[in-house]
Amino acid sequence: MKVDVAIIGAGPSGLTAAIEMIENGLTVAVIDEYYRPGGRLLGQHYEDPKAAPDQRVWNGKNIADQLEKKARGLGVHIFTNVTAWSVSEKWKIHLSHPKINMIVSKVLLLATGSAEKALPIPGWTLPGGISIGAAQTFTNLHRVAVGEKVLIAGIDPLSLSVMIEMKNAGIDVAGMVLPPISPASGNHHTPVQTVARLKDVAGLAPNSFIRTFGKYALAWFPRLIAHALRFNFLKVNGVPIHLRKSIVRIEGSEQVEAVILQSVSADGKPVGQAERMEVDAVCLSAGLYPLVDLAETTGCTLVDIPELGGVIPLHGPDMTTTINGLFVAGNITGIEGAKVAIAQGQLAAVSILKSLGKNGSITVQEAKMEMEKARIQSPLRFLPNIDEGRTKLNKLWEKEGVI
Amino acid sequence: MSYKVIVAGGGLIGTSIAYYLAKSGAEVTLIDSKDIASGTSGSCDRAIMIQSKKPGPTLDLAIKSAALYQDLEEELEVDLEYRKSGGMIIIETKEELKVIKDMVALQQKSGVDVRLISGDEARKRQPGLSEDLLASTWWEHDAEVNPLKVSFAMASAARRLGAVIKLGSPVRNLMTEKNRVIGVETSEEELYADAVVVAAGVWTPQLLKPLGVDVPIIPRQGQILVSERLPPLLRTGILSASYITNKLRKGASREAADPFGVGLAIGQTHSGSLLIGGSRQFVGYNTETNPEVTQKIGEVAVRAFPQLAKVRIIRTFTGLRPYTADAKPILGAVQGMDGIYIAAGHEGDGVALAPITGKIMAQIVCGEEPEKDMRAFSLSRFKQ
Amino acid sequence: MLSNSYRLDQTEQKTIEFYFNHEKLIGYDGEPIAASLLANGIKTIRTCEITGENRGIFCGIGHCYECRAEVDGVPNVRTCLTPNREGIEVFSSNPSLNKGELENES
Repeated sequence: MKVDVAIIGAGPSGLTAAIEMIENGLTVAVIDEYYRPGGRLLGQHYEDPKAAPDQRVWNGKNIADQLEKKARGLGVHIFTNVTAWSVSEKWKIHLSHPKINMIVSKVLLLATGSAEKALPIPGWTLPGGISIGAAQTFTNLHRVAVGEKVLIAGIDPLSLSVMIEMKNAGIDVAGMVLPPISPASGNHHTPVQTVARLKDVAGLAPNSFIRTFGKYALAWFPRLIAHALRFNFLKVNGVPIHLRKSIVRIEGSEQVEAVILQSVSADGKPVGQAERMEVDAVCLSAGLYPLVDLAETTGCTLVDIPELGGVIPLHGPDMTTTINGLFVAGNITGIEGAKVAIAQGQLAAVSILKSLGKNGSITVQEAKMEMEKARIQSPLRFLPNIDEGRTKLNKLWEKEGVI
Repeated sequence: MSYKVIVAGGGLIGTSIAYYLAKSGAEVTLIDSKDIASGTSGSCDRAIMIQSKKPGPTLDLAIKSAALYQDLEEELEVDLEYRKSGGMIIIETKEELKVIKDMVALQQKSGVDVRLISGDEARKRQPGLSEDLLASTWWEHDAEVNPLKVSFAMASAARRLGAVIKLGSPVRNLMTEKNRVIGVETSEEELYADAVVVAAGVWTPQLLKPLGVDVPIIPRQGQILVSERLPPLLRTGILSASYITNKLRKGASREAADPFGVGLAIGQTHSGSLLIGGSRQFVGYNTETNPEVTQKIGEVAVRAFPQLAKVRIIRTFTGLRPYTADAKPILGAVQGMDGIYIAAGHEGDGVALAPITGKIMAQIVCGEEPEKDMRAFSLSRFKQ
Repeated sequence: MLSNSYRLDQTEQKTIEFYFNHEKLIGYDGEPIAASLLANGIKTIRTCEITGENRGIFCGIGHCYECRAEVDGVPNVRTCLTPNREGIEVFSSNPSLNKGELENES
């Protein structure tokens, strides 16, 4: 199959880009490994306090459905349940498809998104030990409970919003605790550091807990830490948030039966006896990292920017990479929310249109401004120092990226 | 004082030489720029195919080597995943049948009782082979082994016999005095010895170039696919006739037809993964995999075993085979420069020939009469 | 309509019958097999080939391969991204490509 543009990833950025490009005269194919388009949108369902009153509820699945319907209606070829296992020369995309094993395109847009970092603690492979992202998808998309009594390990913006979502769905969430505090996980998970990271979700966050925190955070952040740490736990929507307990291991013979928790001091030292809590599911949250496997096979320059979530393709403000004809959008460029991904998809699309001598519905400059706007309006910030990371990236791009 | 020998190269060939030298009482130092089996020996398949060898001196060596393999597990006291599984060269076209018929006739003359069998018999011996298969060869003495285990076992056995193994130490220079090699200079130290054996495979030419010695070994890339774990599927080692014809193919004459030189060589590891090769390409020292080659190898494998269409490939890797123009390794002393020996250039025969190469090189380096006339493998053959 | 304690709500989706290790179960047409299994309270999808330990859903997006099973004769299918259909047969056991016994295989 031959198209002008091949897009890997049918998430918010990939679908948005596909629509913009096909509306302006390009032929487009989108490939996704999941069984339906939408990417991380599919699991998202929360309230956005920053949106206009009639747009407060962010129903990711509905947005995904709308994008898919529009894209298909315009004639975008969407391949689901298909793996793009490699790309070679500009551009051959190799597929695990029973009939079409290659797509040839002029331009390649990588919108491969992100995957979850592992939180390997003893017992984590027991059935019932599940990633926070999977918990979100099963709760909001498939509408199946991941367990009857669930513990969440890892206290961060994503796990907090999934907790609320599970709670709203009627699942018994027994509590949220910190990941293990050990030399292996570094010192990033002490109670003080966890709370420090949460300050950044303050005021931006989709639920009352974080908004409450935010009020403190904006004005009296030092007092917030003192407050949160003095009380061993806070309750949000009736769920205890144990800011001074960390998970030690998961127990069970056939599947998850219990967790062992350890109280810790504010700087992460064990205090007192470990305790056992019976649960039948544990959701592990360790954050997301950009999926660059396919990018690697193209030979584009990759850079490690921890503030953006890890290794990403070096890219410019218009989503170009170090390889002509290769563009990126969405979480592959750094871990941010769906609104930013949508704006990045739009930006990558108009950049691609421009590179092929065509006009988009808006200019590249306008699309850049839309993206900045989306960043400011995002209800959820996954990484606290994303701006610092973007600045770092732009400097690197100016130094090494321009071709 | 005992005889000091440095072996440069910790692959199958180098470790085997180190072992047999240490066994003969030499004071051995084995050095490698990286690790044991970190180059070609760690990125190859597992076949000890005798019947695929070119009749003549190479086949004679391979037969001797196969005999050594039979007792090697006991001798080294290690499980090498050695299995005498027999081997087949499967034939898909009439043209291939003609070439293989000639080869079998020659092999039978050399005392290898390879048989040509019908497609039906082949399918009986190896269920799952395609109904389209025309015929096959069969030889019960072909075997398989885990080349990583062999390399590590040889190195350990050498160490037990007193050899010193220095890893992560690249050879910077071969040190000479007049017309004699007196040792090597690594990144860390100068090591003196009575003899130096260069068993550095595709990297051998670089080591000898500074001495004005030209070694005509060229890297020939081969790609192998690794499947998901499967229940035991392969009863026997399998090559396709096209693998053999690609191997015998010289230079670029026929490269236009199939630039990747794809032919099937398939084996199964003890953990259940299939190792599915392979390709033959002259791309310098490039070890990048090529998705088109991956796809071609997959197609060839599915043609031979239709049920593999359902099987997933979980990764793919390449190795650099040390190619020589006449498909024979270079084994022996370097003329005009005393104290230096080469054992390299086995292309795809390194697994099969490792034990005998080690044994004979030890004999040569220790000044004994080698158990076989080795003139056919001399470096000087290329000067004529 | 399904009434199962793991389902969070009732919908009008089309139901189907499928089999897991020969047991007949009910799921929604088109939802991932892993979701149907979990809805039936099944968390263990397979056992580890090396340790024999139980394994189930982990990442839910096809990345970790923990939820694989044999589906209609195809081994190692990721159940989290494979839609369920009427009558399909899912097995946790390792499939056998070659059903015959091997002579010398230990």
